[in-house]
Amino acid sequence: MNMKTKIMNIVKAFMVPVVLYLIVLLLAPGRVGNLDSITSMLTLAVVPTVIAYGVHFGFTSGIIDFSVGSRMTLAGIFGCICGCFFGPIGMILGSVLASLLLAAIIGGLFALLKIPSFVISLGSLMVFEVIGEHLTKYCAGVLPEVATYQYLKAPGNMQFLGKAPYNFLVLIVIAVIFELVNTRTKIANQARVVGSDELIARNVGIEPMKVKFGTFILGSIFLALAAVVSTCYSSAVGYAANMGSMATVFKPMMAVIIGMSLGRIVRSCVGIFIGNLCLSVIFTGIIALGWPDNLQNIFLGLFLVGVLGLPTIQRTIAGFKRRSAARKAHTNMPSATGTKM
Amino acid sequence: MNMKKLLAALLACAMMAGVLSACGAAEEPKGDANPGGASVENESNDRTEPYRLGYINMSGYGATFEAITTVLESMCDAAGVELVPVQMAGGGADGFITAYENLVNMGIDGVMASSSSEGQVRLIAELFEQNDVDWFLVNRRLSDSDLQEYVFSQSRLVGNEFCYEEETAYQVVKQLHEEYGMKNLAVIGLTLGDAAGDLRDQGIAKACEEFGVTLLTETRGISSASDVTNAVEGIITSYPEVDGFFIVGGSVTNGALAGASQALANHGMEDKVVIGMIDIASGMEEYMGEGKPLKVVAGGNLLMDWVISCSCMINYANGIDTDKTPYILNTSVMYVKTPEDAVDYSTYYENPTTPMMSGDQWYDTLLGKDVDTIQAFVDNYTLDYARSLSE
Repeated sequence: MNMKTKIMNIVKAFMVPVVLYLIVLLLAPGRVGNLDSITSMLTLAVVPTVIAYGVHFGFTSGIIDFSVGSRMTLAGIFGCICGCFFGPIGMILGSVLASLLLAAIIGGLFALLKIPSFVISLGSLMVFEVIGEHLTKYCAGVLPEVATYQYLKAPGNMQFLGKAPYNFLVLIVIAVIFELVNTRTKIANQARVVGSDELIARNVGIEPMKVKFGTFILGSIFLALAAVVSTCYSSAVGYAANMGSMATVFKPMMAVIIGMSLGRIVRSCVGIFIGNLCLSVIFTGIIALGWPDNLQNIFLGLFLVGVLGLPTIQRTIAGFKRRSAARKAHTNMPSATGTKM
Repeated sequence: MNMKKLLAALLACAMMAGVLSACGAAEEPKGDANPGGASVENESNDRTEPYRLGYINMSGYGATFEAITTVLESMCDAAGVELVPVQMAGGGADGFITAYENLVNMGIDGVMASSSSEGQVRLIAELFEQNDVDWFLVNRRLSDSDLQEYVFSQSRLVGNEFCYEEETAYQVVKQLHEEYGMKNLAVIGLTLGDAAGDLRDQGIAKACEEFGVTLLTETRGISSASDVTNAVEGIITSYPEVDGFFIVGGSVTNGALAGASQALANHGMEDKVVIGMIDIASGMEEYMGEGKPLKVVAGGNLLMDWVISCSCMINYANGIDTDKTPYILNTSVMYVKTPEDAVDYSTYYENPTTPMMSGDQWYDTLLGKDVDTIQAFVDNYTLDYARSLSE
């Protein structure tokens, strides 16, 4: 693929959120037609994109993981605690270490017990949420300067990471790391093989369970970074209870699906970002239009079905064109048939 | 023995321990059975064992519910009533019904029953009637007249109390408009179908219409602090004229207030936009005061709901006003507007570790009193009164 085609493909992929934005702009010109609004839409896509990078490896290997939100919450809480003692580096390292540990627990249980991933992730989510709750309340007692009974505050000197333009710089760095890991590492390639056909993977000498465990670990680093960016963005991380953290994974998962369907024309890191940008435009658009919130779910659902169905629709249209061209060619051939007779 | 066998053996041991403990004797009563010497009776004057009062312990839902547990324990301890808590597995209708079935199986005499929606109330009523359990319907106003008629005709219903949710929401909008000149409001709401949330929405709509406040937009289904930041960010950029936010359920999302304030700070709008909120949030004093966005927080009714329900049940068990059932009581909210009030509120009223009143104070105010006295206590309760109790 030459450079011109590559650029054209990227432009084509970005046309999806641009078209969505233009629709919103037409419907509410005074609301979203300004730089602030565009920056806000881009900002809204940052955290879900980093989460989606963390979800991507597991998802491609066939893992459905609902514990993502609870792991992020715990990583964020640990990050805030370490940030309180050791500053910005402490926050990042604390989050990464906590996230790795949690991923090792859930990945280890998954590999050892061979229970379906969504079951083990749901069980882990409940346990992690309770740990998060108790940890927050404990911190409220011993670290009142950073914690209340409901949430922990991000270190003040780290909050710039959640604001434009620093959040975009962070996203670019993480996207580059993700792309390198996704295309250049053995584990990411093996995850794709396992995800497409586990039997074939076994036949070629890949151990699916080992690979799936690896995807938990790999994804957890990105989830830790997502926890840091998210905590800095909102200035706090609150514990979730009663499976409230489960919803965190839904939009990033949708973005991964959109990214995979755009995978034929752009790299995964760009495709996933475009997916999140689309969701962000829809979210902002519905707010700007003043529509009831439940319409957001209807549009998100329709959009997802549309994006996933697009290749099939394209193939159907192409097939129809081919058949009608063949029919046309056939009807233009009677004289030749007559000659034969 | 390989790892699988070891894990299987451990699992089998854990299950066996669970079975044995479930088949064992019921939990021993907490503390002294009747330390205050109160005569606790139920139906029979010969009764010697303490009255067993059940409730669903929802401490995991936040500091407010922890404070509720602390208060109930304190009051029951003072009255010599055995408080029987049960945990709820998951939210929603099934979680509540299963929890009440567990309580009935634990042999309770009475229960303080709440529900996530009106739809479960008939089932709850039938459960308690069939099992001869006294019950008090907490924090639920029945809007369906048929259901209300059915529930109030039940022989075991001791009472019902509720807060006027729409009035609370109405008052918050009114105060933001009249005291801070708020004219363009955005709502961060509870999910549609939430009983309290729907009523609060009605109150907001009514106030907006009455005071000419424009209801710009709404967003719901918030699950984390960064979701709130996202929502506020989106609203600020789409509606530069916005000058007020209403967080309809402040305790539903931990960190909601921090997330909203951060978005305002990012856009330098902390002193241009006011926030009103229902439900108390831990650490809210940080966002109140001069140049800060949080101006009005309505809350406190949830704790009072359980306080008066518990006192009514204990008094009923002691034979007070038994001919007046079902009691109908109302709670109202407190409006916290300054950082000092916010701190005092968390210290003297809704404190997860210290009950709002001592044993003697329960008897001075609520225990052994008739229903009208209890209602008067609720109507006159203020933060100043809470402060005075601690002196």
